[in-house]
Amino acid sequence: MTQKGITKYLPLSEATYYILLALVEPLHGYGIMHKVEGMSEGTVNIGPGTMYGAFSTLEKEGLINMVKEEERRKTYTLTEKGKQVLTEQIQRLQIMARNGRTVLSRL
Amino acid sequence: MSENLIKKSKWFWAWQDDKEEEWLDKMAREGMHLNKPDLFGQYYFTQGKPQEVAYRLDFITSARKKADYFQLFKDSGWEHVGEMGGWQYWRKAMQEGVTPEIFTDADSKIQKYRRLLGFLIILMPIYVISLLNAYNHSARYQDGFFFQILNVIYFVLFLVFLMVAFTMVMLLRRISSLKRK
Repeated sequence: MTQKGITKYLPLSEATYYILLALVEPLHGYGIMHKVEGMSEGTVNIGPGTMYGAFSTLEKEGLINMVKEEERRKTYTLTEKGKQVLTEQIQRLQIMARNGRTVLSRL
Repeated sequence: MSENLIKKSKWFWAWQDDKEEEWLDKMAREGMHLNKPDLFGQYYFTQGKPQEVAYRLDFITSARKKADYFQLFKDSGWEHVGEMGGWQYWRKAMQEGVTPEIFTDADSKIQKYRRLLGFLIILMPIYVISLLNAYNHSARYQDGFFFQILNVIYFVLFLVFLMVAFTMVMLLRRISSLKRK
């Protein structure tokens, strides 16, 4: 995957970022929603309509794929491309946070 | 024993579905609980205790909605009340004053309105063809009863066509205002 191919997905929305973070391990929709709420300390809530839409968008973009379907629940995980996009996003956020911290001490 | 159903007719414009949700929430606070939505703006309610409930609408046609769609909503505590022409009616009780939502960002709301637009665009050729047919006929039969009937049909089709076109324009406006958020 070229650098340009990755950056066209960036920046990820807050919800998409957390969904991809959660999918570092295979999870189904409700599992993701629950995990994101915990990880974000309650700051990010994902409704089922948003979750369902995100699955179809992210699958179409090739960032996640379905690994199994059991009892009407689809389990997804990150693809290689998804991992690359997420890595790039995390690196950008680290730069942003570093810059923020320097300024924060002067506010 | 069948429950006592109260019938109410109500029209709503597709780009104002949030107003419809507010109305259903208000009805529930007054003890009128949606039992099932029927075709073309007919609702059946049952009278009960006033309750703080959130009603939320999704638009998804039968071709797209799958078992996993319903399961995901159910897992998150939402109850499927019914369907009306592709509109899915969901409800969930409010907990500790928190209003639950099925769509939690602008992107997914835009997606909903795009699905609706896609559905209306598919209907468009049907209207255009019927309109052209009606027009051809009205040109051929210049007088008599048959001509008058056709004119009425032509007029009704034209009104429906205008309404669908107007809805599509308003949906596009709704989408662009959501994009600015």
